[in-house]
Amino acid sequence: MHTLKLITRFYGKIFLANFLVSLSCVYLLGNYGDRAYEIIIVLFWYKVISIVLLFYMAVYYQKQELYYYQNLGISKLKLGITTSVFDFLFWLALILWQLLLGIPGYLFNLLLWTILLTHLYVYIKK
Amino acid sequence: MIHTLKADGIQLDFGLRRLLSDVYLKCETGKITGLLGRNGQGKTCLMNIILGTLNSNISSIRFDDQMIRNASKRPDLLLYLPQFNFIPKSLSVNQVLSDFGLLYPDFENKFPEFKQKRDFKVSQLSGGQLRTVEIYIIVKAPSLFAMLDEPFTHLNPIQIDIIKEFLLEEKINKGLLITDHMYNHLLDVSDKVYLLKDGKTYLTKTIQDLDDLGYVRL
Repeated sequence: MHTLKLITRFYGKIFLANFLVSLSCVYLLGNYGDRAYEIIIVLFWYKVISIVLLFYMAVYYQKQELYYYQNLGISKLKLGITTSVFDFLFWLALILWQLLLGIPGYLFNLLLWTILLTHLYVYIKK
Repeated sequence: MIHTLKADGIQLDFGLRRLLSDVYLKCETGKITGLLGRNGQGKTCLMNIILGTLNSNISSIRFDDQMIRNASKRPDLLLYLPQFNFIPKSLSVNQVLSDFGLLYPDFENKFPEFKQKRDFKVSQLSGGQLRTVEIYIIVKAPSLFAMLDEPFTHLNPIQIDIIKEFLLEEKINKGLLITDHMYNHLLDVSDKVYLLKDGKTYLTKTIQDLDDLGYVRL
């Protein structure tokens, strides 16, 4: 539980960027309508590459903080695998939701604004 | 029971330059081991090799005579204080202590200047205060050994004295390997001191030995 809390804390720093990438995928799928299946492979690679790049950026800009996690028994590899797998599964869940049921526009906007405002609040509080 | 950490046969090359060639170092629980050396002699590299985050050509790192390849994955064995600040700035002092399973009142008793600073963000602390928190968590958190790379940097003379007293108190609980350029302070607290020079370690006993080896001028 303690480890999970620490990994979540690290993930919190890259969540917004990853979430926006996921939402952009969902938006594109919604726009393609019946032809959504045509771009699913492109979106898959878009997501995979963005996960790798965003993690690399987080590690690059917070290199010193990695010693904090290391001293608590959480290696860079563990951070990378856990956050990437979770983020990919979250993306997959959103994509499936959109493909199978379709996310209503108002819900999509509500989700986007809630996340953005929460982040803005947290940022100001800091 | 006394536990030992031994590093020997370490060889490290950077291109054509051989940085470490004949290193022998032994730390024991209950003792403070000092490591001195001029800039660029490889003190931090040696610590990273012991930690397992830097690969060397040849190395033998043994805890209680058992070879350990990557001690960085074993915080129960070894903790590391790097020479730069490493605590995420967004955390509060209390959160940091809690992450390492430590209690704020104990910390506050030891370092009274932190009274009323429980909820302060790490980014709100001065350089010396931040270094104090970092030293405290690494030395106090449960593990057999801790390596401190330049712990006295950023500390004022009063803080240095308090930290030295703290290190002497805590050495009962673990083995400490400390490197710092403030050799007087290091000599004050260390039970034995190695000097790293030209890739080799020399066990020194007195400040005269350091003079003979060309580290200080008396």
